[in-house]
Amino acid sequence: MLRYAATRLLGIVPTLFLVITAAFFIVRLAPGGPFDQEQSLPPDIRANLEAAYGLDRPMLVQYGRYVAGLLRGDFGPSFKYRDFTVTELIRRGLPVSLTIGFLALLLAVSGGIAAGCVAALRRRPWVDPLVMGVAVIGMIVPVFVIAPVFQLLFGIGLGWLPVSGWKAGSVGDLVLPVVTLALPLMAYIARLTRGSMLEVLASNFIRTARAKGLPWRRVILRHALPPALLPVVSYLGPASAMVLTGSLVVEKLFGLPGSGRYLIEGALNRDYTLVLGMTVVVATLTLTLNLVADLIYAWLDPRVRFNASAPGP
Amino acid sequence: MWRDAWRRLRRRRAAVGAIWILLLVAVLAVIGPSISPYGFEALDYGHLAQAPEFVSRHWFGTDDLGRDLYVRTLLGLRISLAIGLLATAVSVAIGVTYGAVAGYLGGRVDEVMMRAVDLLFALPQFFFVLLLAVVFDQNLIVLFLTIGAFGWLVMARIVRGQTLSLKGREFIEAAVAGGATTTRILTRHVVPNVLGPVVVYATLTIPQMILLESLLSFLGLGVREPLASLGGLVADGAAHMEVARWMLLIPGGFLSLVLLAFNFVGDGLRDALDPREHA
Repeated sequence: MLRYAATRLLGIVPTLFLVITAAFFIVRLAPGGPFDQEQSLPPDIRANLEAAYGLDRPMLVQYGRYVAGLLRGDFGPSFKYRDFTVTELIRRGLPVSLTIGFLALLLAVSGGIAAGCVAALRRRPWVDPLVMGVAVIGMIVPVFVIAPVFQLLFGIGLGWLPVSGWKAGSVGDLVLPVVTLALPLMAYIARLTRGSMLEVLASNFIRTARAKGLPWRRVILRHALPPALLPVVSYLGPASAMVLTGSLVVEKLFGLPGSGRYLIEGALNRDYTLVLGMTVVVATLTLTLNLVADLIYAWLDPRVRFNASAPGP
Repeated sequence: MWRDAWRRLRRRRAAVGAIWILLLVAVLAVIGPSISPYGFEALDYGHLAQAPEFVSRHWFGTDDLGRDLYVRTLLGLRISLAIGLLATAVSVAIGVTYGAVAGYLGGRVDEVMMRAVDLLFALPQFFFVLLLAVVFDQNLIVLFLTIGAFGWLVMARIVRGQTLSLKGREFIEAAVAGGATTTRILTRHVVPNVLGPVVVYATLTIPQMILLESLLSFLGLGVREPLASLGGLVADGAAHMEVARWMLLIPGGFLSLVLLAFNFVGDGLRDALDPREHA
């Protein structure tokens, strides 16, 4: 297990490197420079500015300096928010984004699994179509359509929850953003769980357990559910990527001071270092979370570790 | 096989309904705007932020600048559909070629090609599209190329898998024995036989592309003003939803409808083409 983990961990490094390099050079490809949008600067002032930011050096030197900076945790200065470095900006926003993201994942996984089980067990004939119908809508209607509709419904219409804003320690502010962010994932996980549970419940060892006279609840929880959850675990990787993307929308709509919002504002302001820095952070997060999800899966399903080319069911 | 599939597809009401809806929407998108007397940029100061009504011919109402929402929504629909279809076409073209070649040639070539796919897969897709949109100043062509650029990955994997299982079949052997060149085998034997899953996945890719584009436009980084995209319209609508609900609900509704319809058709196709279907 450890060896598998170590190999996978090492595998991330070249990918990360590729991402950073690609992002860096894409940004440098931009026609014009970061000072183009200001009122036109006299050439010597611009030359000074560029020298100060190191933009007059050859591309490879700039690249080298950037990577060296990254290793120190320095993402460079923000070109638009002149008094801040990108590192500071990211560090401000990240806790908020991570909180929302983590809570959303938690909600999605628990809610999704529960919903999927309820649908699979079908205590009433209308349960399955209902849950799956809602799931389809939750999966496909985009977050940025659902979010305002929820705001309209729960915030403005019914007045139950605050429409936007972020006051430290306020739970009410969290509810709508987390629920909206979690919804598509919850829907997909519900679908996965339902399908998987149906398959598992039809299998022989469940029949044996029931034939042995074990209480139904125990059969479900201890015998059926664990193997049924494998597809959900393997979905955790892509799920976290979706959370990262979704948080951009949610932060913008609910006015949350997270790093996603900085990314969007940076993009609109053409603040290249900020966008570059955020892309690197997001890529790192994505790769790490994918790795964690894969490791959990490998831990649960030993076939993966010993047979690298056959990734399980 | 196609006739069977068609018959099976027709039995699934959701898919059939979805196809009708898509056709209707397509017709609307193409000729709808010409019915209205308003242009998409025209500012009607007499009717600012007005709810949908019949008399003024603003059937979907107007936005806060006085622009007619009927025309703008349908225009946005047109753009979103166009981008979705074109980007999917590009992904299919690239993905099928890449996957078929990798699967057929096998060995080292296959390994290398699939490694490249895996690498690209690990990249956070949306953020790179965003980066490119920023760098190239939301140029429409760049936008569309980058959206399509990530779509072909899964298609390539699917086609490669299909090709691998096809490789062992007798007719391929016969073709090789008959002296057919690799290109010929690929184009005349492999590709036509992998079309089934390709069609299914293409139908499911279209809404993904539309979603990606509308997400970008929603954030302000996609199609630019004054051109409308459904995502951008929803963003405007969300900003004004307290006073002008229709600005949000109408484009949002159309977008959701289109996405749902494509997904239903795709699911229906997938079930119809799957020979192992169990009721």
